[in-house]
Amino acid sequence: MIFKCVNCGGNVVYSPEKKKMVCPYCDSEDSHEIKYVKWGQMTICPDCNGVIPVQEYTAATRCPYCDNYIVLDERVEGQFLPKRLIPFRLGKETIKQSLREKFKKNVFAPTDFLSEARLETMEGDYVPFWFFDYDVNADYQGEGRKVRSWTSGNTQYTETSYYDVRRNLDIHFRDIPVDASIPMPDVVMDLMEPYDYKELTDFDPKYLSGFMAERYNMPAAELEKRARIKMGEDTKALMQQELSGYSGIKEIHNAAGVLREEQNYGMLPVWKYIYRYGGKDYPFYINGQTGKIVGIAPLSVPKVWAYAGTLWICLSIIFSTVLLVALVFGLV
Amino acid sequence: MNNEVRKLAFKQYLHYFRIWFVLTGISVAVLLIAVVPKLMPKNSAIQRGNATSTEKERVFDYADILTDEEEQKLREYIAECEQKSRTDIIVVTIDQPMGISDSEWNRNMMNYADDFYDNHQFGWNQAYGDGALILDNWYEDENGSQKGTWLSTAGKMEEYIGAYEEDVVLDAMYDYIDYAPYRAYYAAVTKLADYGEKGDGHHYSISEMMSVVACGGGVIPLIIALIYALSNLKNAPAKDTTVPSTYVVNGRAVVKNRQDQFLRKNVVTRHIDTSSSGGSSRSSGHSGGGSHGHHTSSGGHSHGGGGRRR
Repeated sequence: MIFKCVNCGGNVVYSPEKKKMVCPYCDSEDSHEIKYVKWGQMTICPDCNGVIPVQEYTAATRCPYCDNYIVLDERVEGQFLPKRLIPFRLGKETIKQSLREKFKKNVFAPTDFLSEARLETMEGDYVPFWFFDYDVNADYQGEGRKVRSWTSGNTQYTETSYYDVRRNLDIHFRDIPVDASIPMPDVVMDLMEPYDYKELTDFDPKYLSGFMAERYNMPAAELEKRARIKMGEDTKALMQQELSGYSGIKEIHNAAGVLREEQNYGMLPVWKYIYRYGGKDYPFYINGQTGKIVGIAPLSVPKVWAYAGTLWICLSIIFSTVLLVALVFGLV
Repeated sequence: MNNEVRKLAFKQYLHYFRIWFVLTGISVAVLLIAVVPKLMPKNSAIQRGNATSTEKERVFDYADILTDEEEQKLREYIAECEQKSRTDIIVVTIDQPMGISDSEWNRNMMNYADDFYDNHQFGWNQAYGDGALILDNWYEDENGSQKGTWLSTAGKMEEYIGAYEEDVVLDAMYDYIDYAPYRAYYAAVTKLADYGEKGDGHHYSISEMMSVVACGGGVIPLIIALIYALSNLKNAPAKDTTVPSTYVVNGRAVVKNRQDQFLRKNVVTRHIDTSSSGGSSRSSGHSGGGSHGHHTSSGGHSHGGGGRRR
């Protein structure tokens, strides 16, 4: 489907700043109508009939000929219909500013790393996620130790008290996110968390207009292991928080069982900036809702030499002058 | 890299180092205006000003310690050092008794050295002026050794060379004197030339200053520049900003059972030994050396210096 402006016929896209559908050609708001793609012909642009580069998991893309954003109906319906989604809150200009702010002190980054032309290549991407819910019961038993020490006269006393420590917790995990995209690195996606789930909304394809999107690359069952690892680690940590106040605890029994579990499919917003330098790609991923940036700035070796060399020469002249003044005028 | 990017890179570079360039410019100005003129030798002192003395010889090897070749080399080296330090430097070796007792030896050596200097009217700027004379005695007989050295100084060298400097000169000389006299005199002349430069108002010789500048002005900034480069090479990756309760309803677990039942306790005692021992230590040092001081020679001219037996 393609969102067309009823006023000017332009491609209407979702504006994160205005939180509305906006026509970038005539500035009309919420003036869209939907033009559907013929079923089975999703590789043909409904506007210009150009061939769209649709990959196996593409759910929304941009026509390389007319630059219109197209949502692929077949990839957001039926078994691929996301239940929920967080719309982009931060627009491209805001993200550009964030990147410039974060990396402004990276003096050794290549000069055009934050140039307007390069940053303009950034794309917004809805990444498919499976959200896992778990109701967990955790049970713990251990022997706790509290140590107290005092001195009286010439004698130091150390008193050790032992306790039978028992805890039983119910922990209700909701929406542990695990990305269902093969191209998106798991580590990066994990670092981009957390998203503010208050902005989770029912899926509407209009949010995809103006962005790229993927449908899930693998079913929930394949990703459950990652979700369970996260859940298990958090359960242990939460139990540890309940065991504070002891000098040490000897564990006797520690077990956790899942009482209920559920999975939901949804999409989360990510800005993606791929900077190519020296034959290598430097990817940057930015949380489209919170602005958290994940990525390491590239390094320009000639710049390192030039800057360090200049600093050395300047410092040498300044230091030498100070030393010579001190020596010649007998200050040392 | 296209021209636009190059231009932008250069602009960034200039902007980044703007303060450093200003400071460097100020430093260069200070160097040119204040330091360089100070380091230039005074014109009046470049030429030897003593027209009274006709003595050109600087090596008087009466004890015949040096070979002819060594004498010639030492003469040439002294001429070079005199020019640099604007100071007369004379080496005299003798082989004659100067007294058994220390006081007698000191007096005779001092008088000999001072009179030798005065009789030849040594002095770079004028007769009896800036200069130093090394008198080295090699006398030894059945009653014992009267070997030793006396340093006679005059003019700016008398002002500059104190007991410490005198020790430095003699120590440098005595490192070699027993097996390589030429090297010993060479080392002593080198030290005297250094002091001659400092006596002109420089607290350090040019070579010392250059060593300090090469180290302080070259090595330390190099280390700082390397640290600067290394510290900017590291880009911190993003941190994990989730906590264990991020995905938990209401941000906490529901505690169904919490039990802390006291079981037992035990007490361990330890006796604290309060006796302590301590003490203080004292260190002492001493400085020594031969006699040193200002005095007037038999000719009525002021001299400094001192010496020691070996």
